[in-house]
Order: sequence, then structure tokens, then C-alpha cells
Amino acid sequence: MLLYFSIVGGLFYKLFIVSPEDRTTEITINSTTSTITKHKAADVNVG
Amino acid sequence: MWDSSITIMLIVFIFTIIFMLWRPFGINETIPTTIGAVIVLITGIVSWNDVLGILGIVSGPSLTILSTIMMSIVLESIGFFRWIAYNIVIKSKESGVRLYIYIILLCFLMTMLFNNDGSILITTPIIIHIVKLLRFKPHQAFAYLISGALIATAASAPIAVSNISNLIALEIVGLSLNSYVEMVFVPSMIGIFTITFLLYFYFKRSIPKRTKSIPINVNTNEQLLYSHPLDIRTDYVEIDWKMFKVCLIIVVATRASFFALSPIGIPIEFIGLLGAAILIAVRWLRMKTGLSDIIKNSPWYIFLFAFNMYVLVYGLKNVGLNDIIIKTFKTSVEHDILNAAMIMGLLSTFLSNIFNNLPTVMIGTLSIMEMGLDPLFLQVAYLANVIGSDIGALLTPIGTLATLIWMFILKRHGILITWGNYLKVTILVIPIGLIVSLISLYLWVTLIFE
Repeated sequence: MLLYFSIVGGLFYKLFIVSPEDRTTEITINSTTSTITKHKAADVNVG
Repeated sequence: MWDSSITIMLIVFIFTIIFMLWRPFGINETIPTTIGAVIVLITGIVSWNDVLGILGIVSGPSLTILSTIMMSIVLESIGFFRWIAYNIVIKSKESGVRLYIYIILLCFLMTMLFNNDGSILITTPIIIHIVKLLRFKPHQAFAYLISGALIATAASAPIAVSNISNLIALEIVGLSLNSYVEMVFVPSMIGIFTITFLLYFYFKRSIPKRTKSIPINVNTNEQLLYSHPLDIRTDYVEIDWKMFKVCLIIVVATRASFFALSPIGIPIEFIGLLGAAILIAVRWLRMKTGLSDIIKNSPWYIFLFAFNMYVLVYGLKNVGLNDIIIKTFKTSVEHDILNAAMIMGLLSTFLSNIFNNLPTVMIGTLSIMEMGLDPLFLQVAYLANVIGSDIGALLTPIGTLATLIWMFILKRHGILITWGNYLKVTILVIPIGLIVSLISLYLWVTLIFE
């Protein structure tokens, strides 16, 4: 199971965390609040 | 002989389930279950002597699930999931099919690393973000949303630690985590693959070939910038690679430790809570963030909810519901493994879609325990019961708490998906996925374990 979860974790990291340009350097954090939910996005009602 | 305790128990149970699923005025599901459990205890249908035993059974699974939810709260607070949402859009490179595959994989892996309810709570807002960001039409958005939700929920079957009802049932049967995985991982994965393929073919026309191009850049300060074409504001997502890596390692190590350390007698809830504590400590060391969000957002009521449900199920058992199940199905189940798998799987599916999978899996497990089956038959019947309550329960939205949570999140975001919309998909996909899983369970067990 250790091997299994290593694969699951590795896959998760590779697929969803690493950006296409693979950036691994230390970062500067800018703590701002998301505004994305306030955007006028398309309705997705399914009726 | 029909006596008053049967009538009281049935009325209490039916009303509790109705109020739990309906949740009038947005009340927490713990309130109706607490009232139901108190009535059952006061009327003596479940004796106070049984309470200690019930506490012993539900406390471990509740704490394990609570610890996973705490972990997801920490990850949420460091921007982990928001980064994933944008990263999926970047990586799908304007391909609708690639985006679909990424979303399915995300939902599956999130349940593997956390639990089904946590996965739904996290992935649904991510998918909503994405479909709004890419300005999908309603039928296109629906394809991504329902496919993600069904896979996230079904993915709780392969390993027992992704679902509280599986953990409680495991506790009742006394099966080890590793034995569970050995027997059910392959059959349930075959079922999940089947459901994934069916969903893809069902929604093939709704999945756009090309998605809209949106301006997302990772700038030199390692912040992700998103600027909506119709809005002058810019959205920043924090990217702390080191934290992301360390947190993911802790989550993976905790999951693996469930299986590595439980055989030597370390309780899984202890491993889960230790993992959550380490994650919280790492966040404090790096970001000096305290416990307030954990205390505020953790579903502490989950322990009381699980306890109440078990009291109600124990009440049904005490008034003889289990005897009816045993009398009706025992002879068919005890002589043939295929019958054991199919009957218990379909029974569990049927009951889950009437009154939710949590009480169903408990009722099914208690009945199976009292059938006096041979060990192999008992395990197959129990695992089929779990498959029915994890996969078969997806047929209607009331089948699992995860799908109810999903509907609730969509409603909160102004997305209306009716029962009709839901059933049109599940009626074609879930029965086939369920039957494939149950037949695979039969074949796997007879090939490997008989």
C-alpha cells in the first residue's frame, strides 16, 4: 500500500501541482482574496 | 407478532430519514437524527447498555473522517485547491476532452487521498470555477459536474478509508483494512472504469472539442495571474511550492500509514489525527496560522451523527427488521457466492436509494453477521453490500450524503440540476457499473481466494 499511495501521490503531484513549466523555486506570497467568484460568468443552470 | 415497539421504531426511522434528507430551514442533519435516537433510547428499543458498544464502533471511523476533513481545510487555506483549478485549465490546453479527463482524475484521486464527502466539497467548487471561467453552456457544464461527482463518490469503494459507512461496516465485521483492499480493490476499480467510459460516451457530444482561451500566466514572482476579459480586476493565486509538496507528502504518508500501521494494532483514527496535527503544525511553522479555521470549519457533529444513525439502525435490528432480511435471503446467499454477491449488492442498492447508504450499510452488515455464513460467503456478502451502498447508491441523489452535498453546493452557486436531469444519466450508467462490479467481485474472489 506504501507503493500504491506513493504512485497515487506522485500522480497527483505530476498532474495537478506541477505547472507546465515545472517551477520549483522558492516563492513570494502575495495574500490577496479571490475575486473570481465576483466575475460575471456564464449561467450554468441545467433545466 | 407485531407490537407497539415495531410501530414506534418504523415511524421514528421514517420521519428521521425524511427530515435528514429534506433538512427544512437548512437544519443540520444531526438534529433530526438526534431527536430520533433520543426517542429510541427513551422508549427502551435500544437499551442504555448498548450505548457503550455503539460508541466503541462509531468513534474510530468518525475521528478518522474528521482528521481527513481537517487536512483538506489546511490545504484549502494555503491555496492548494485554487492552484489546482487554474493548473487544470492551463494543462488542458483548450481541449475539452483533456479537461474532462483531468477532472475525472482529480475527483478520483481526491477521494483516494481524502474521503468521498471531502472530495465532493472540494472538487465541486473547483469544477464550477472552471466551467464558469471557460463560459461553458449549461449542457456542457452539466457533463463535467455530474461526471466528477459520480466518480468522486464511487471512488470511495476501492479502499475502505474513503467513506465513513465503509469504516463502520469494517468495524462491525472485524475485517482488516488490508484484507478489504485485497478483495474489493480490483472489482470496484473495474466498476469505476466502466462508469467512466459510459459517462464519457454519454456526454461525448456535450464535451466541447475546443474551450475558450483565457489569459492565465504564472509570473516571475511565482504568482498566478488571471485577468477576466470583461473585468479590469486581476486574480492572484498564491503558489508556495514547498508547502504544497510538504503537505502532499504528509497526506500521502498518512494514507499509507493507515495500511502499514493498523496491522500492528495502531488504531487508524490515531494515525489520521496525528497526520492532521503534523499538517497543522507545519502550516503554523511556515505561515503562523493558528487553529481558528480548523475549529470553525470542521464538522464536529459527524461523531454525533454517526452515533445517532447507528442507534436508529440498532433499533430496527432490535424490533426484528434484520430477522426479515435474514429469513428472506439467507437460504439464497449461503450456498452460492454469485448469489451472495448479487443479492446483497442489489438489496443494498435498493435500500440505499430509499433511505440513504449510511443506515443501509449498517443494516446490511448486521444482517449478514447474523446469517451464520461461512467466512468466505460472509466476506463476499459484506463486500457486495459495500459496493451496493457506494456505487449502486448513486442511482438517486438521496442514495449518498456526498450526492446530497453536491446538489446543495450546486444550488448555492445558482446551478439548478433537477432529479430528472440526474436520473437520465444515472439510470443508464449506474446499474451497468454496479452489475459489472458485483460480477467482478464474484470472479475475483472465486479466482483468488476460493
